[in-house]
Amino acid sequence: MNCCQEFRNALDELVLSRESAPLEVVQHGEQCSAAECRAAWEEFRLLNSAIASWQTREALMVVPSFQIETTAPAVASSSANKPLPDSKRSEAGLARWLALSVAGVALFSLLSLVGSNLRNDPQVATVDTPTATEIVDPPVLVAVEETEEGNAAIRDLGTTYVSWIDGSTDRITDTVAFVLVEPSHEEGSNSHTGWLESLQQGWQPLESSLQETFQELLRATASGSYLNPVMWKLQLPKAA
Amino acid sequence: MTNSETELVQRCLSGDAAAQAEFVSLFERRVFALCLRMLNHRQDAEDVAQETLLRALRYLPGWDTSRRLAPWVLKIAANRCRTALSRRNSIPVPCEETPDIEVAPVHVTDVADEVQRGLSGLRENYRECFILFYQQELSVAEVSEVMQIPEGTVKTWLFRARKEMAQYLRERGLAPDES
Ligand SMILES: [Zn+2]
Repeated sequence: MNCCQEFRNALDELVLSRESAPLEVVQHGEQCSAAECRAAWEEFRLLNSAIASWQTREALMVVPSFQIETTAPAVASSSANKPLPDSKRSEAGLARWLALSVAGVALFSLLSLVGSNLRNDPQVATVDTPTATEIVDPPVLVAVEETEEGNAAIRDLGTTYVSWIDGSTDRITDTVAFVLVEPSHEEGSNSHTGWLESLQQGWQPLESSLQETFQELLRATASGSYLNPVMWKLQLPKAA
Repeated sequence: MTNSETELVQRCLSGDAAAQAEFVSLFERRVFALCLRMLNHRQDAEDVAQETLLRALRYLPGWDTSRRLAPWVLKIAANRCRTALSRRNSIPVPCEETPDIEVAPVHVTDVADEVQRGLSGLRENYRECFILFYQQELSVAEVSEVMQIPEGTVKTWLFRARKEMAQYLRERGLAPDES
C-alpha cells in the first residue's frame, strides 16, 4: 500500500470520528510529493470548512412551534369539573336522555326475558339475550380514544344510537307481542298456566303503553326532531 | 437511553400533558430540521414534522428503552419524509431551493448556501445520510439504525456524498483557502 492510500484511510477515519487532523497528517497533506495526497488533503479541508459553515447556519434555523393535542383521557380529566358551554350542555342532556332510553330498553328486555323463562319458552330467550347484551354494552363509547377517530365516532354516534333505538324498539315490541299475545299453545300444558295468564293480563296495559311510547318515538324520529339522524349529524359540532 | 429520557417517556405514557409538551419541545428542532433538509420545502416539512411528533408520542410504548430516544424519533421522521418524497415523485412539486449552477461565483459568506444547494442536488440516499451525519450529528451506527441499512453502506454513501459535494463546491469556485 502506497502513502496515498494510507493517507486517504487516515483522512476517512478522521471524517468518521469527527476528530481534527493530528500534526503528522497535516504535515503529510501539505508536504507530500504525491499530487494525489495533496488533492485529498485539499478536498478534506474544503469540505471541513464548508460543512462547518453550513452546520453553524443550520443551528440558527428558525423552527415553528409544534403543539400536539393531548389524548382523550387527559382532556377528559382536565375538563371534568368545568361548566359546559350551552351547545355542549344540550349534547350532554341528549346523551343523558339516550342513556336513559337505552337503560329502559335494556330493563324491559330483562323483564321480558324473565317472563319468557317462567313460561319455559326457549325461543324467546334466544331472541332476547343478544339484544339485551348489545344495548347494555355499547362498543362505540369504549372506542373513543384517539382525537381524530374519536371525533369521527362522535359524529356517527347519533346515527348509531338512533339505529339502536329503532332496532331495539322493534325487537322489544315484537318480544312483548310474542310473550303476551301468543301463549295459546302453552294452555293446559303447564302448572303455571293460570298464574301466567293473570300475569299476561296484568301486563296488557303496560304493553299498550309501551307500544304507544315507542310509536311516538318513531314518529318523532320521522318528523325531523333531533332524533332524526340527518338533523343529528348537522347539530353536532365539528372537531376543533 | 438516559434516565431522564426514560423518566420523560414514562410520564408521557401516563398521559401527563406537560411531559408530552416537553417531549415535543425536546425534539421539534431536530425533527423539523431533518424534514426541511430532506424535503427541501418548508410547508411540507412542517406537516411531516407535526405528523412525526404525533406518531412518536403515539408509538412511545414501542420504544426500546435500551436504545437512545433521538435516533428512534428521527427514524420515524426519516420514514415519513421518504413516504412524502415518494408521493411527491408521483406528483411533481416545485422545490423551494434547487441547485443553480449558472449564477455568478460565490462569495465566502455564501458557503453555507452553496452546501445547501449541493445537498439539494445529491440523490436521496446520499442526502439523507449526509444530513443525519452532519446536521443531526448521529454516529454511523445510529445512521445505520435510522436508515435501516448496514454500517458499511452508511460509510459508502457518506463518502460518496462528500465526494459529490466537494465536486460541486469546486465547480462553484470554492477552494479551501476561501472557505
Ligand atoms: Zn503521500
